[in-house]
Amino acid sequence: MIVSFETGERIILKARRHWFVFVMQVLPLAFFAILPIILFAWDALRENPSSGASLPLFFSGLLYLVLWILFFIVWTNYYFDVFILTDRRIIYISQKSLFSRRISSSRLDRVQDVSAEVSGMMPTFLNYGNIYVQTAAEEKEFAIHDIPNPDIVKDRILAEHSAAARAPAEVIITEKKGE
Amino acid sequence: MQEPFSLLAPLPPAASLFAFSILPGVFLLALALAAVFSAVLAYHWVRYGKNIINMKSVGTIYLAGVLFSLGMMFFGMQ
Repeated sequence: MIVSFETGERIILKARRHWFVFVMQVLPLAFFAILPIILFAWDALRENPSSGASLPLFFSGLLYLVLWILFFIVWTNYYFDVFILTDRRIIYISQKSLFSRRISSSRLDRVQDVSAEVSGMMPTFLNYGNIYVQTAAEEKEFAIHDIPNPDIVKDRILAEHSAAARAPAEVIITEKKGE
Repeated sequence: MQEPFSLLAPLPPAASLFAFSILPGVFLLALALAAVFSAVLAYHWVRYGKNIINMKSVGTIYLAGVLFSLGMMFFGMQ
């Protein structure tokens, strides 16, 4: 993983975008993938089916190759886009495309406000939405999109924030040379 | 009686030039496309997904699909 954890840091929650978002991205590819199957089925059901279907087979293969590669690019972008809550930090890896990603991280004790948003018909039915985390860190606001059960995740972040705020601060004492 | 038009009919002789000159070129381009994108995806999976994905199963499924479609193209060229 691109994120390195501190020693003793415990992962509490790991969440990806809702599966429905992935399905909606893949749906156009599935539509194009069905077209050659319909074409071949239609030809086979005719009274005089064609014997040599070389050229359509060739271009169907080309179509499937492009669709297969596109599917895996979409899947990689979906699967590598991940939100991680540890007992010390919140980390959000936003994979925008194959060559563009943003990794945001903030310590839990710097979290100021957390809000969850479920907007739209499908997000309401399937219970997924966005989470916005206001922090006192350099990264002022985290926007975590299309997370399943945003209310539960929000409560979990707040609970871990309270636990982190209650915990005594770690003090490191180093001796100066010559003292 | 003339045969009804069929999308899946065998290539007429006039199209043989197309079949023998352009199709292998397209096939080689597809092969290059597959090689480039396989390398890019493999790089991402190794670099960023070391502990996230099961490289062996994802790689096997991906390669199976690529080889299947390249095989379709190859047999379509015959």
